[in-house]
Parts: sequence; structure tokens; C-alpha cells
Amino acid sequence: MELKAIEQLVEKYLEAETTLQEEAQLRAYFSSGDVAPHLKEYAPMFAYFSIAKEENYTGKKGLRKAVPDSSEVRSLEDPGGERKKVYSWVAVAASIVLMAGVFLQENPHSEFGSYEDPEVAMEETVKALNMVSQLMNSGNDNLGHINEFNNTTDKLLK
Amino acid sequence: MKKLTFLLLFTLLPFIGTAQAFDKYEGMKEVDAVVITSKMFKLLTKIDLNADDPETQQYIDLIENLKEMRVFSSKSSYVRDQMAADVASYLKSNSMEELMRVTEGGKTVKFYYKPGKSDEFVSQLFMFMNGKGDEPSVILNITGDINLSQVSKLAQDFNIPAGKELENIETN
Repeated sequence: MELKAIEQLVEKYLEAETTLQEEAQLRAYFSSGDVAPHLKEYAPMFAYFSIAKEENYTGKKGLRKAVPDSSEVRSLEDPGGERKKVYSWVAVAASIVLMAGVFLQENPHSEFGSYEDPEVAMEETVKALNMVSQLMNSGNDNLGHINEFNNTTDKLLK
Repeated sequence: MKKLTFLLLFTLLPFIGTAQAFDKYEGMKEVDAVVITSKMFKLLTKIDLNADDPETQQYIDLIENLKEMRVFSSKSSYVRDQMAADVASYLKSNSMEELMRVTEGGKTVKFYYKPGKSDEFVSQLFMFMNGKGDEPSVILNITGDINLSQVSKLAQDFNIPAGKELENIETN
């Protein structure tokens, strides 16, 4: 179509005075790929509306189609979009609770360790130290025999 | 699904990051665990312990300088094997020096340490006893300012049989 005519139709469209037929003409022009530079800014409007036309929508959803945004685009492909979003929120909340449970479980014992009573803790520490000391000295028992050896050699040599 | 696996990995992180490799033994029912945290040792030093005799005082002097103590012992052969493996990898990843080894009647006791502020002191004392039969395997780890000569003296001076309770300690 002629550029002048198109310009007029665009004006009419912006005044919301176009007929369906005229809108079809506009769509055809803008999707043709050969759009005049000063009209290029209007191209996306008509490209969008051509998609909207193909879709089957009920009265409810039709109202939402007036303003395009990313969430709308998603729901065009997937009518259940809104419901899915709610589901994933629940999943996130559930996993946070799960993590909290794990973190809380990590410390079954108190910050004092195995015992809360200092007297008992003291006793157990003493027991442990004794065990360590004994084991450290258990090698020394054998060293004690060296004295015996010295004694016997002394006896022999004398 | 990918998100879930990521979150699961995240929950495992606290276990990976725990201070010591042996913490898992604390929860096992085949393991007798004695864990004394630094909080408890600080509490012990604050409490005015009335030592009736110098014997108890020696212990108190030692204990005052301890930071943390963990002892895990088990007679279960399955746990024993696990312990041996865990100790081997712990020694590989922690640079400790060998203090001594004692082998008696089939059981081996190994002591390792990390040096302390002077020759007499160690900042960490680690012991692993590989028990056989009725004797348990024991992993012991003590951190702090440990006076080794003092520890060694305990058994020499007092000749304490295993399991004796000390009734001399009174607390205010």
C-alpha cells in the first residue's frame, strides 16, 4: 500500500477509529519487512497484535492481552503459568524448612560437650588423662627390666 | 529437579565443613564418646575447685590449660576398621609429628603431637589405640597448652589403676 495511506491508517489506529479490515492492512504492511523508517516504531505494536489474533482466548484472559510483558508471553505458551509459579514458591519454602531442620540437627549435644555437669566433666577428663599417662608409660615398664639386666651382669662380672 | 539437587548438596555442606573428621563417631551407638568443649574447660577453670591434696591440684593445673578434648572408643569391629581408616587419612592431611609408639600384646598405641610453646608443651596431643579382642579401639585428641611431662608424671606418681573415681574434688 502507499506510504501516505499507511500513515493515515496509523493515525486512525491511534485514534482507535480503524476498522478490522484497516487493521489487517496495517498488519500486512508492518509484517512485510519493508517499513518506512519513521513508521518503524509502530511495527512491534502490529506484530504483537497479529499473534494475539491467532490465539483463542476466553473473555477473561482477553482483557489481559492488552499490555504485553514477559509474564504474559509465557502464559501465551502455557495457560497454566500462574499456577506453576505458586508451586515453585512452595518448593522453595519446603527446602528452606528442610535445610533448617538439618542445621538444627547438627548439634545433638550441648555446647559443653558430652556432659553438662562440670564435676562429671572433670572426672571424665581425669580418667582420660590417666589413660593417656598410663599408655605413655607402658613402654617404660619394659625399660625397668634394663635395671635387672644391669644387676645380673654385675653379678656375673663380680 | 536440578534446583532440588543443588539444595540437597547445600544441606550437606555443614557436614563437610565440620572442624574435625571424627565428629561422626559422637552419634554412633557403638561408640563411647567423651567430648569436652572449650566452653566446659573455661567453666572448670572458673569454678573454684577445692583440692584437698596436691594430687588433685596436679590434675587441675593440667586441665586449666586444655582447650578441647575428644575421646571416642569402640569395641565394634566395623567401627574399629572405620577408625583405622579415618585416622590414617587424618594423619595424612594433618602435619603432626610422631611422639611414640607402643606395641603390647597385639595392640598398638600411637601418639602424635603438634608442637607447643616450648619443648615441654604440645598444642595438640593425638592418640590412636588399635585394640584387639576385648580391648576397645580409642581415638583421643586434646588441644591446648599440654604439658607432656606433667601428663607423663601422672601415672608415675599416682600409680592409678584404671577406673578409679576421684572423690576429692569439691566445688563451691
